[in-house]
Amino acid sequence: MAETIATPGAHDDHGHEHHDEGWVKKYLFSTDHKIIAMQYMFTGMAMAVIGGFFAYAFRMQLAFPGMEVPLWGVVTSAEYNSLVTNHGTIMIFWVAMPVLIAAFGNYLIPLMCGVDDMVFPRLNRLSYQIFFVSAVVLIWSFFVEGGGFGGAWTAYPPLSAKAEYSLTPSGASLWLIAVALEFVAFLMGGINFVTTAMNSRAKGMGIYDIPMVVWMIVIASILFMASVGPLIAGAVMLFFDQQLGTAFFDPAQGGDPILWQHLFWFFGHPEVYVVLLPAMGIVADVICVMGRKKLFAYRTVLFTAIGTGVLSFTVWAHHQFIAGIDPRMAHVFTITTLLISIPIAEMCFCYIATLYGGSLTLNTPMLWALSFIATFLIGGVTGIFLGASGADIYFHDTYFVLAHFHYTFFPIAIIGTFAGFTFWFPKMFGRMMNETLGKIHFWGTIIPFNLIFLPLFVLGAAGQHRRIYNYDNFPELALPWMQDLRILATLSLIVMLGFQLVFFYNCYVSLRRGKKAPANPWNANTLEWLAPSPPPHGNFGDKLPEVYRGPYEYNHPDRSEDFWPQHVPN
Amino acid sequence: MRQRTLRPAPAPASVAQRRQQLLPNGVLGMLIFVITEAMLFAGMISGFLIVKANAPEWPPLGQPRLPAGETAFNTAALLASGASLFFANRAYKVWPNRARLPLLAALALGAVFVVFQGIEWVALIREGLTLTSSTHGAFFYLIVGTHALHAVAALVALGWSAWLLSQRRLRPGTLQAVSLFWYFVVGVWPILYFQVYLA
Amino acid sequence: MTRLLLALVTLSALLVPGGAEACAVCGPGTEESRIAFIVTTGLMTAMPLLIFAGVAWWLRRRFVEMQHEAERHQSEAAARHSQTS
Repeated sequence: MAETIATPGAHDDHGHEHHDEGWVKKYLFSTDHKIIAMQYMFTGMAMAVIGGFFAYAFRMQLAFPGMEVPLWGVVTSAEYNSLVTNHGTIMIFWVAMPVLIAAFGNYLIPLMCGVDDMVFPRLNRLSYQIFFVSAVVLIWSFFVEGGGFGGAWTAYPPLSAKAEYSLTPSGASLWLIAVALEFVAFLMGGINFVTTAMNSRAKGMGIYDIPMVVWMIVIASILFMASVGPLIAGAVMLFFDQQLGTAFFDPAQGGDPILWQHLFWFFGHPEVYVVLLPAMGIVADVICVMGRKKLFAYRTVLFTAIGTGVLSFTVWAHHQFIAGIDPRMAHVFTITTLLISIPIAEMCFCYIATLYGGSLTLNTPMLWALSFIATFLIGGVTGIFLGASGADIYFHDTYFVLAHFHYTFFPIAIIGTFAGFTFWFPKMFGRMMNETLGKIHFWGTIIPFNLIFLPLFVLGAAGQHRRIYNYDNFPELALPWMQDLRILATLSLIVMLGFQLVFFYNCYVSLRRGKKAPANPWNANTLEWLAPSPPPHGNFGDKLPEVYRGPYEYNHPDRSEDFWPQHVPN
Repeated sequence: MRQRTLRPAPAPASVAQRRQQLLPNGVLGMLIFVITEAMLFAGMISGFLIVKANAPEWPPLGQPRLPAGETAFNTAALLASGASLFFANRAYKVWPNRARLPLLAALALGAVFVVFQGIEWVALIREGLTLTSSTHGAFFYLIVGTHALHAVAALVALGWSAWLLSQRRLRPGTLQAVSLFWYFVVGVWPILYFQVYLA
Repeated sequence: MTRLLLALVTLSALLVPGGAEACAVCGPGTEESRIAFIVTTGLMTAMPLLIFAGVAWWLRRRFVEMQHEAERHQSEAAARHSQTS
């Protein structure tokens, strides 16, 4: 160990080029964690636009079957399958993951830990480059012969394994390659996050002085890396089945299609917590700063998050209750699934206790954070019905499931992101965001969101199956009231998508003419607010900060100011 | 893990090592990577076990049997390579130059393993065991092939370390990280050998 | 403790349902194949948890060792200091 201490620098492979670089080198091939974070953020947002547009196209088909959809045309059944599949894939793997983990992780971990960059900056750059290639491959897969892959984002064989079933000879394989590349990218990113947060922190920052969002991203990265292996194995096997004619998942030749579900959901369920935890962390930081209160029970929240991680490995077979798994296993997984609602509820209670008695500032980031807790709660409560294997037999593959996981994923991927983005916008770009436009955008998103998915709960409970292209062909599902609810959901979606233009306009206006942001506009405690807004290359200049206390000392009785930054000696 | 109580770090220039680390960066990163890899092999072995349990007969009728005896020799070479690398690490701590011989021995033994596995593959393909001939062949090439890819990658890394050592530029963290990966490749093989060749 | 035992016994009763198949059309696989699924499920579920428990334990031990060493260094330095002064 002595040698490592003597070694000058945790960042030995990181050249400190402060001289002028070209635009390309500075913004496209930078090793600076902030630039890479922005690359992830903007790629994720661009992909979100594509995913949202896909949702618009197939929701129009559901509400008005056979209609020529503006900007798309008539949605054929093959196109419908491809749109649904790629909407799910994009929103989870190319929006939630890059924005919540990669963008916020890259931006916040070095700044909040008080260091100048990641531990492996070049690995970090490579991570984004591979991620970018994966996005290109995915988009390419929409335009090949046969169109994009249409076997749902879960890609169950035999539909996904044989081109004669999926009718997308190259789309399916390109989709698979894109997903695999994306995993490789996040693997590199995750190694970086964990190593940086564990090994390279400001002097004096003990493990209980780390801001919650950093902890959550670290736990999420560990979860991701421990769960992704079996899925990579499954993806290789599926690729071989598609392209080389092996029979891993073909029962006729000795394979087993359930095996794919086995490998897929081993990753698929921890993945939910991989994206949930960073959003939880962002919300924790926002409510503490905007509520001017210390986070209620820091260690409880931390250990609860770790407990969630542990439990998240033991619930995955609940996705297979009706796939013909052994009833003995189904019972065990019912119990573990119901158990995992406890730590999540505990975290929500801690957040509510943090809010209790605080002096809340209801600005845009705070509104997003509060709405996260409220909407995620609905998602969590509806999940209990699906976790019980008996109820799941009825609800499986209905719109109830769909509404449930949108009530979890939307708060995570969209609300959590907006909470973080509006909160750290002054730090990222050095300008304040327009509050009025921000609030219009908030209400214009949150009300239509509920109007989209509350009707879908009703439809799902009425037995509406998920994977149907045109309900006119199913008289008992095409009753007038059901069609009315579908139209309501679709119109709400269009309204919600329309309000996103307000967000982009707000970004544009704020970047051009927004008020200059001071270094610490929210009077927050954590180290990133010590750096100038926006932070220069190297973040803190020559003198790296030292840490003297935990991250959430607001309204401390011994101080006249209501905040007590981590880097202030006393 | 309140590390602030530990001895004060030497004053950092700009970005010096600011805290005493439990593990060097490279080793910690490699450890996480190895955990992912362990789960990758766990997934493959799980698939193999399930398909094997489904099959009425294993290995399927009319498929060549795997050469367990010859592979036992390979296994021994691989294990010896791991042991040799272990001694290289110990020698390195005392006197870096003394690590050279065991490091090269580990490299050579690892190369023996890869080459003999390759020869075995050629023979098996001639006998009619291919990816598409049965799920048996498919899983054999999948699992053993994945392991072979790892072995080759690890050998390249070991060779690179040996070269760095001869240039006197090998840092302890690098050697430890590469060794960790090679230990994983060596350690997972007996499990694969038992599952695929013997059981 | 008795209550915990009782709960465990009750829970273990869940492991013995007969033909409570959720899927009406899936033919039940062979018992071997079902056991294989259960075993691999257990393996894959337990493996990451065991690995992390092991790594955490090992890091903890290493940390304690390093702390002891640091203390020894400090006391040696203090001893030397007192000698010189």
